[in-house]
Amino acid sequence: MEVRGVSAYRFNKVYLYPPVTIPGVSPQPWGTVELEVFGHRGELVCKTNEPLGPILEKYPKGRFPVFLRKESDSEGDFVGYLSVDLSGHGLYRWEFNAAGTGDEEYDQPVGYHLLVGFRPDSEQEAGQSGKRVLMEGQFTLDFEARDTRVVGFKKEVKATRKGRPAEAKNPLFQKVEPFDPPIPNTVWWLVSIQPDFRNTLWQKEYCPRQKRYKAVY
Amino acid sequence: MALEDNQKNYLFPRIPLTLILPDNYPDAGGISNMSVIPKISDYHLGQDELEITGSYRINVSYFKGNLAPEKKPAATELKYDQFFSALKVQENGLFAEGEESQVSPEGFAGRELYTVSFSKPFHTYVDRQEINPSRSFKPVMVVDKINLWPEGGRVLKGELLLELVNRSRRANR
Repeated sequence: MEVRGVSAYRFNKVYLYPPVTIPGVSPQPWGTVELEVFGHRGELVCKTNEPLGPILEKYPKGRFPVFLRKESDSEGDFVGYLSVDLSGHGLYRWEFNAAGTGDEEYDQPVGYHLLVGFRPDSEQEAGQSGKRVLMEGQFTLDFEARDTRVVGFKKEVKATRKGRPAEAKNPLFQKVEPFDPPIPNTVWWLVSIQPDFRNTLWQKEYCPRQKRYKAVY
Repeated sequence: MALEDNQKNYLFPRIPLTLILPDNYPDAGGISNMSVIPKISDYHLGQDELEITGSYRINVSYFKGNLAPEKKPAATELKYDQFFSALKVQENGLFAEGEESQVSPEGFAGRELYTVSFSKPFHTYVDRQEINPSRSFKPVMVVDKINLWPEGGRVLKGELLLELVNRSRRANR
C-alpha cells in the first residue's frame, strides 16, 4: 500500500447560513459543519449555533432532517436527523467513505450543499418535503462522500429472496467483478447503505444472506 | 470517531492567521467554508526531539460583501428572539421552496462564492517526551480547530490549531 494515501488528510469547516437574513443584522452562521477525512474514512459533524430547543417546544414533533446535495443534482440525499442535546443544540454525526483515490492530482472536485431542514410533523416520510431549508452551507470536496463500502462474504450468496424474479435483486447490493486484489472463495459486494437512522439494515430485505439477516461490513 | 485509533496527540501552539486577499478579488463579507490540508514533507526523529518540515494549505471560500465593522457587535446579539422571528418569516412563505426562488438577495446561502488559496510552510521541533513515539511511529499533522473571519474586507483573520498524531498502523482503512 502506498504511503501517499495515508497522508491524504484534509479538514473542512463549513458555515451554515439561513436562506433569509434578518434585516439590519449582518448574517451570522446558524450552524457549523466540520468534515475530517483520513484516507478513505471521513466523518462529518454538523452542529447548530442556535438552540433548537425553543422550536421543539412549539412543535414537539418537529424534526430536523439533514440533506446532502451534489451541485450537479437537483435532489438532495437525506442523510439523517439532527439530534437535539440537553442544551438544545442540534447535532448530527455521519461517518462516510471518500469515494476517490485521495490523490489530489486525479480526483475531480465535487461541489456539495448541506441543508438542514425543518419538518413540524415527524410523521412524514424522510425523503419528502426536504426543501424547507432552515440553514444551508456549501463546500467542495475532492471526492464523493458516500456511505458505500465494499464488503467480502465468505461464499457466494443469493441476492434474491425465494420466489422472486432475478431482477428483483436488491439494488443496494451489487457484485464487484472483478475485484482487485482477488481473494479466493470470496465474493465482493458493493453495498450502498443509507445511514442507519432507524435500524433498517436489520430488515431482511436489505441483506442478501438468507439465514442471518444482517450485513456484516 | 474517525481518528480514535491515534496513539498520543500533541497539540501545537495556536497559529494566528492573517490572510490578505489578492488584489483582483472582491471584499469579503462572510465566509462560507474553508478547507485545510496540512502535509508533512519530511521528518526526522532525533534522540531528544522530532524535527518536522511541511506546509499547510488553506482554501477559503467567501461571499462578496461590505460589512460595516460597526455592525459586528449587533450581530453577536443574535439570540432566541431573532431566531424565532426569522423562523416566523420563513413560515409565512419565505422558506426556500425552490432552489433559487424565495432566497432574499441578502441571504448568504446560495450566493456566489470566491475561493482563495493560501499555502504556508512550517518547520518545527517537538520534544520527544511529548509524543512518546513507538517503534512504528509515523507522524501526521491534523487540524484541531480553525477559525477565520473577515476583518475590514481585504483581510481574513483567524487562528489555526494543528495537532500531531501517530498514524503508523491501520491508517489507510
